[in-house]
Amino acid sequence: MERLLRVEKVTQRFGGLTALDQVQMHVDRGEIIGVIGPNGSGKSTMFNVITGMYKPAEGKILFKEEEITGLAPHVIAQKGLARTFQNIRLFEKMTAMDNVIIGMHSRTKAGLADAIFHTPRKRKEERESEEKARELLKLVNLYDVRYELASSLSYGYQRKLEIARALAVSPEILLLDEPAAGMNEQETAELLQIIQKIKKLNKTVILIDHDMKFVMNICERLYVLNYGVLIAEGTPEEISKNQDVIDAYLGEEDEE
Amino acid sequence: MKKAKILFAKNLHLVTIIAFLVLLALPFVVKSNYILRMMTLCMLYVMMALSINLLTGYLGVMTIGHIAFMGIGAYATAILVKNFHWQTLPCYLAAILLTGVFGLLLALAASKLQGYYMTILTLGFCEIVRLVEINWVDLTRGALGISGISSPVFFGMKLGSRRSIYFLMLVLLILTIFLIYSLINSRIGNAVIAIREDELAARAMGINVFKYKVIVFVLSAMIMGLAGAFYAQYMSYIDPAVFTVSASLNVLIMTIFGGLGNILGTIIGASVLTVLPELIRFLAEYRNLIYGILVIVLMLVKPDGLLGKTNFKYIRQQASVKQESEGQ
Repeated sequence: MERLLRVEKVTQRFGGLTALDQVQMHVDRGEIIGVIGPNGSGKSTMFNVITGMYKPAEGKILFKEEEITGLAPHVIAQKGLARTFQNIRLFEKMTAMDNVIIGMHSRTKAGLADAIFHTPRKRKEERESEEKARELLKLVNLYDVRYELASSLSYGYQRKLEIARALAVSPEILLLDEPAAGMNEQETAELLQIIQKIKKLNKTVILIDHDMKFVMNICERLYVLNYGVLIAEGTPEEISKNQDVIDAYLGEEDEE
Repeated sequence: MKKAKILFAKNLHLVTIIAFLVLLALPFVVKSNYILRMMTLCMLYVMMALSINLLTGYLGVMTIGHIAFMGIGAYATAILVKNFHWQTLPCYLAAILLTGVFGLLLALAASKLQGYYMTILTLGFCEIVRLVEINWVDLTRGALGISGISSPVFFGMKLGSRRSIYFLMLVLLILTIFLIYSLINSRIGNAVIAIREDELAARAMGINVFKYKVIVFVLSAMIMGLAGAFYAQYMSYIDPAVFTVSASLNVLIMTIFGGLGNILGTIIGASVLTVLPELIRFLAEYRNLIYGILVIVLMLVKPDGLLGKTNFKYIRQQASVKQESEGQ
């Protein structure tokens, strides 16, 4: 099994707060990995560090054994890591189709001269992009609303569109930040199917979520963060029996 | 209304060609020098507004000092024509190159800033350029301005008549529209709009934000510089009082009036707000009042400007889907 991503002793501080403390993680090709933990435990910070939005104070991130720590976000995306956002960040005034096409930016090449002279190369590339966007929109069941503005889509649809847009980057690792947040049961079930389909496309998935049932259902291995510290890792069964995790997270939920 | 919009969107190319033919035929039909002059000025303002629309409408950088680039282009041309007797084409190239360099410098400075702070930067830039124009007396003759700038000369041919100047402006405007249209309807344009919509998400999609900001700043500056180069020879007199923040704001208002991020909107906005004050000249001191009321009313009725929410490509696409589903 090829080791795709390694997070080595990553520490991230915000002023006096240590958001991540010496976190160790690894992801193999083809896995579906879950990162869980209570609110403020550093899950999203983890994503931001991996995708280059933050530069960690200490530690290294290696993608296919190549160090990517501190690279610009767009370079990391080009290398093959794409993400979605917890607080949906679509290009609102553009259609679903164009949102997905923008995801393909780093996989297409037409430049200024192609734009001005409307070269055959540009037209061919545009046709191919459109074709691929259609496929991706079908994958997430959004083909029927392809020409609707992103802002006019329902919440669940927007979440799915974010996934299609991230897939358009042709990533090897797809990072999903709370993909099921705000979805009803039916939508969550649909999302489960979509992620299974994505796995079949030979993608590796890392996802953050609060919905324990959802995470336990789909993930093969889990990492549990609490106050920025990795407190457990293992299969869903192992995690659900882990006393530290129950104290930190699961127990808390039971009290509610 | 909706049907009319769809019909219009579907035939946009036809409309463009007809508009072009009308503009081409106009000087042969209209003999009045006053009208030709006004049309030329109107087209010049459209070109300036398109330049601002590229930066403000598509990239989302609000600029209130863009006219500084026009000043740079105008002074470059005036000096090259007066002191070195250059022909017009090399002057235009020099103006484009020079404003391109300044556009690049401004982009480098702006890349560290966000939102309103970038706007303040454009204001500062405009003031600096104006102060240089006033104080570098040896080169610019300061507040006196440069007068007696001769008419455009292309390949030894002098364009002296109102009609030939009109055609020169028409050519520049068409080049501008073609350039911006091509740029926006391309992979680069998509990236630029993505940056406007959400810079962070654009980065996450692999878009090199800095690169596209530089491209748009430079191109937008070049278009404004070219407009300035034309302006110098069109007016035959320039002085620093023309290239002020308030003049720049005036063009920005035209762009917003027409609707940010829409080429046709910008054309209509700039045309209406250039021609209208001329048409209501008889109102004398009430002219500015009417102008102000018109702008306010439009902003109340259509906060996004005339066509700010309209995207003709999307209207066409949505209409085609509807047709398909109805056909089934």
